[in-house]
Amino acid sequence: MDEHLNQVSEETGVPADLLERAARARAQSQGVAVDALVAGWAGGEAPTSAPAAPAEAAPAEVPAAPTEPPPADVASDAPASGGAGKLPEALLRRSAAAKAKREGRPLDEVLVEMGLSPEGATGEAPAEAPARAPAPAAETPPAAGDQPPEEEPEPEPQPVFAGFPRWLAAAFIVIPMVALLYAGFAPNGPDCGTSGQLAINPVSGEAESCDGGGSPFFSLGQSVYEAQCVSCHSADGSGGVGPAFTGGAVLNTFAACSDHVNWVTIGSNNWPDPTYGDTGKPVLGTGVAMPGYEGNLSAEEIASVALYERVAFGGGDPIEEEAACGLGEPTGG
Amino acid sequence: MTADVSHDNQVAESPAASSQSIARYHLWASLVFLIVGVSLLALASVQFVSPDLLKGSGWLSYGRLRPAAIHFLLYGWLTIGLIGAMYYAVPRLTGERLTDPLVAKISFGFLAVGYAFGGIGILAGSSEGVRYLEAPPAADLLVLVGLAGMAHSIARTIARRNDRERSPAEWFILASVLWLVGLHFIGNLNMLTVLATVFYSQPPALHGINTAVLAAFYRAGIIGLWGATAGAGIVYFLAPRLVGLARFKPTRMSVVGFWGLGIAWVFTGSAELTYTAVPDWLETIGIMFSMALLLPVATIVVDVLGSLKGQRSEVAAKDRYSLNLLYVGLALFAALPVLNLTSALRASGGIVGFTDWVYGVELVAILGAFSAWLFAYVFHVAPPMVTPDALRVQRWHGWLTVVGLAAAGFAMLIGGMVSGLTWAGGDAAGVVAAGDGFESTADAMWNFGFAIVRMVGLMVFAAGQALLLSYAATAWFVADDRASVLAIDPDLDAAGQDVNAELAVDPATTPSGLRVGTIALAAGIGAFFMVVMLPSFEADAATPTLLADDSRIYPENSDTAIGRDIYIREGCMFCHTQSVGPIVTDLGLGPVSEPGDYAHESPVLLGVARMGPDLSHLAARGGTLVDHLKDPRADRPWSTMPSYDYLSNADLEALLAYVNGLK
Repeated sequence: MDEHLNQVSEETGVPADLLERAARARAQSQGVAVDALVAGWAGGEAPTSAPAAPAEAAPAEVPAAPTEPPPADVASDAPASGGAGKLPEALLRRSAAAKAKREGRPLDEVLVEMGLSPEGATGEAPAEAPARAPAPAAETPPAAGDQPPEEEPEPEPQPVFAGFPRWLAAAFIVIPMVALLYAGFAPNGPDCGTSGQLAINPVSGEAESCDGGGSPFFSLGQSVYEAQCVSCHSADGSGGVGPAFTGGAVLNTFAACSDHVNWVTIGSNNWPDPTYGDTGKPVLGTGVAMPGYEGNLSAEEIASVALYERVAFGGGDPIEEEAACGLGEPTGG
Repeated sequence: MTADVSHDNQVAESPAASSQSIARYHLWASLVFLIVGVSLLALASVQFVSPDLLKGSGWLSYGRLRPAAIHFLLYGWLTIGLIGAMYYAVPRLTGERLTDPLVAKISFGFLAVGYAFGGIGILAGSSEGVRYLEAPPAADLLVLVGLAGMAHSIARTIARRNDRERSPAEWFILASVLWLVGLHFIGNLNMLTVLATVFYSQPPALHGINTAVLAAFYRAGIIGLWGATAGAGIVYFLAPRLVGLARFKPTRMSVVGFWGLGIAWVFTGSAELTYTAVPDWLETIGIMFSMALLLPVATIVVDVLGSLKGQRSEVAAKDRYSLNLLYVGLALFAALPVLNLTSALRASGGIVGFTDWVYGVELVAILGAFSAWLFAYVFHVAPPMVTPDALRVQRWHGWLTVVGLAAAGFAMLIGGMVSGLTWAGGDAAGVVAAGDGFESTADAMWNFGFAIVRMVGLMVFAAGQALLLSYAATAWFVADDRASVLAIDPDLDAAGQDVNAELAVDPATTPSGLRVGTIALAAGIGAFFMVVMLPSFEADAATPTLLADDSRIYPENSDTAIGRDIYIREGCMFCHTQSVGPIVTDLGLGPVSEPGDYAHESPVLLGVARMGPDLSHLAARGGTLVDHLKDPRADRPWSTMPSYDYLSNADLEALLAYVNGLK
C-alpha cells in the first residue's frame, strides 16, 4: 500500500500521510478495502485521467440559489466532487495552488501538469446547468502567466449557504425577519415614564398602563402632587408626616371623591367636624395640620390631585374616578 | 528576562510537552474548585427544604453560600478548567511551543489565588453585591494580572505562525481569552477604585441604573463571549481528536458560528432587564439578539455534528465516554438559546422572569453544557484506563451527572415557571407577589416537591463529581501499570500516527486567524461599550427622580447606608428584588420603578429572583420587624428565609431601617 501511496503522493503533490488518511476515511465510508482503494488511485484512475478540454469550459460558477440541496456530508475534508476511487478535486486544486506558489509558477501550468483543467474551467460538467447564469466577462480566467500568483482569484465562489442544512439556511432568513418584526410591531411594556401606579384592564386582566390611562387631569394632578404634597406624603404615597395613601388607605378614608376634594380644599384648620372621612379619623390625629388649598390651587387642580392620589396610590379605576371627582369630558350640555 | 531563560532551557521540548505541566496545574485546581463549588451549591439548596439546618452561621447563610458556590463553579472550575484545556490544546493546534511558560505558571498562581480569595471573600461577607461580580476588588485585581499573563501566553502562541490554515478551535480560543480579559476589566471597573483612592479623594464610579445595565452585559458576556466561545474552542479541538483526526478544517458554518456567537450573545444581556426600569428600546435589543442567538448556536452544533458524522467508529475505546460527554454538552448548548429566549420574550419572560427559572438557565449553562465539555476534556487527557473498573466509574459518573443535572434543572425551570404563573394568575385573589400573599408562591414552589428534587439532584451531581476526582487521581497517581500507561503518547492516534502532523496547507485561501481574532475582539468590545454607555445619554437614567432624592439616597454612615451594606453582604438580592415592573405579576407592589429612582445608588440592587417578595415600598405594605429577621418561621411558617440571628442587634436595626425605608 505504501508504495502506491508514495506514487500517488508524487503525482499529486499531496503528502502521503494525508492521502492515507483520506483513503482510510473513504474506504470506510464506501466499505471497501483501503489497499484496493489506494491501488485504484495509483492505477491512474483519477490523477492521470485526461483533463477536461479548456474549450469545453463551463461558465464559471456563480453563487447558486441557497435552495440548492446542500451536500449531506459536511465532514472535515472539502466536499468531494469525484466519484469512487477519485481524490477530491478540491483537495488536488488546493495542493496545486500551494505548489504553484511555492515554485513561483503559474497556477494553470501546475494544474495541467497534475491532470486538472486550468483554473476557471471546472473539471466536471455542471450537473444543474440550467440553474447557473453565464459568468460576467470580468470573471473569465486570464491567460496563463499574465498574472502573478499572488493575485490568483479566490477559488470557487460558493453559494452563500454552502454546507448549511436547508432548514438552517432558512432559519438564517426567517429569524432575523421575525426579530425585526418583533422590534417593529410587538407591544412594548406600558410606558411608565412617570411614577405611576400600574393599571389593569378590568376585562382582560392585562397590565395596560401605569399612568392612569393617560388622562390630562392625572398628569396635572401628578405635577401638583409633586410640587405640594410630596414633603408630607412622600413621592410614592407611602406617607411621612401625613398619612399614607397606599394599601387602599385613601379609598377607605374617602369612598367618594367629593369628600376627598372637600378635605383638600378646606384643610384641617377650618374643618367643621372633629373627625373626617368615612373611617372617622380625628382631624389632628397625626398632630400635624393638613393645609387647605382653597385659593392656592384652582378647583380643577385640587380635583386632579385627588384623582392622582386615588388612582396612582389607591389603585382606583382611572375612568370612574375621573367622573367621580367631577373632571371627565364636558358633556356638551 | 526570566521568561527568556526558561525558554532557552526548553528548546528541545516538543510543543505538546511545553504546556504539559501548566495544563496539569489548571486541571487539578479546577477539579478542586469543582468539588468545593458543587458541595456549596448542594448545601445551599438545603435552605429551601430545611431552612433552619444552617441556622446561626453567617458563613453558611444562603445569601453567601449561593453566590460563593456559583463563583467557585463559574470561575474556579469553568474558567481555570477552560484555560487549562487551552494550554493543552494550543501547542497541539499550532505546532508551536507555548510562549513564555513561566509567565503562564505565574499567571496560574494569580488566577487560582485570586478566584479562591474571591470566593472565600464572599463567604466571609465581602461581597460586592453584583451577581457574578461579587468578588472583592483586591481579588479582582489579582485575577486581572493572572488573566493578562494567561492571555499573553496563549494569544502569542497562536499568533506566532500565520502561514498555515488554522483550525476553528484557534479562532475561538484566541477570541475568548482576549474577550475574557476585556470583560473582566470592564465588569470590575470598580477594582480600579482601590488604586484610584490613592490618587483621588473621590473615586470614579458608575451610578444608577447604568451599573445594572453594565452588569447584565457582563453576565451575558461571561457566559457567551467567554464560556460558550472558549467551550466551542475546546469542542473544535477535542471533537476531531476523539475520532482520530488532527483537526477540523474551517468550514463556512464554523466561520458563521464564530462571528455569530461573538456578535449576538453579549447583546442578549439587556433582555435580563425586561420589565425593570430600563428604556424599552434597550430591552428590545436584548430580545432581538436573543432570537438571533439561536442561529450561531445551531450553526456550531450542526457543524460539529456534521464533521463528526461517519467518524464515530474511529473513536478509541478510551475516548468513547469523552465523545458521549461532548454530545451531551452540545445538546445542552443547543438548548441554551431556547431557554434564554423564553426568559427574554416579554410574553414568557413576564412569567418566568425573577423566578427560579433564571437560576435554572444558569445551571444548564455553567454545570451543563460547558461542564460536560470540560469533563470530556478531563477524561480524554487522563492517562487511559480501559479496565472494566475504570469503564464502570465512567458510566457511573455519566449517570450521576446527567440524572443529577436533569433533576435539578427540571426542578428549577419548571418550579420557576409554576411560581411565575402563580403570580400572574393571582391578581383576582389579591396580591400574591408580596407580603403574606407570598405564601401561595411558597406553596406552589415547595409543596410540589421542587425544592426536594433540586436538592437531591444537586447532591447526586456532586457525588458524580467526587467520582470524577477519584477517577482522575487514580488515573494519574494510582493506576498499577502507570509507567506503561504513561508511555502511550496521547498525541498518537489509534494507528500510531502523530495526530499533530501538518495537513496540506493552503495559505492563499486562509484569512489570518490573528486578524480575525483582533477584529472580533474590537467589534465585541466596541459594541459592548456602546450599548452600555448609550443608556447614560438617556436623561431618565441619570436624573434622580423625586423618589430617589426623597428616599433612595444613602449618606455615608447613616443607618440606612449601613443597612444597605449588610443587605449586600448577606446576599439579600439573590432572593429579593427592588423593582416594580409594569406587568400584571407586580400588581399591588406600588408605583412602577423608573430609571431615575436608582440614580444615587451603586451598585443597583434590582435583584435576581424572588425567592421572597419584592421589597420596594415595603413600609407601605406593613414593613418588617427584627423578630421576623431573627426567626422568620415564627410568624410565617412557610417562609424559607434564613434566620439572621447571627447578626448583632445594631446590624439588625440598621438592616431594618434600610428595608423599611425602601421606596
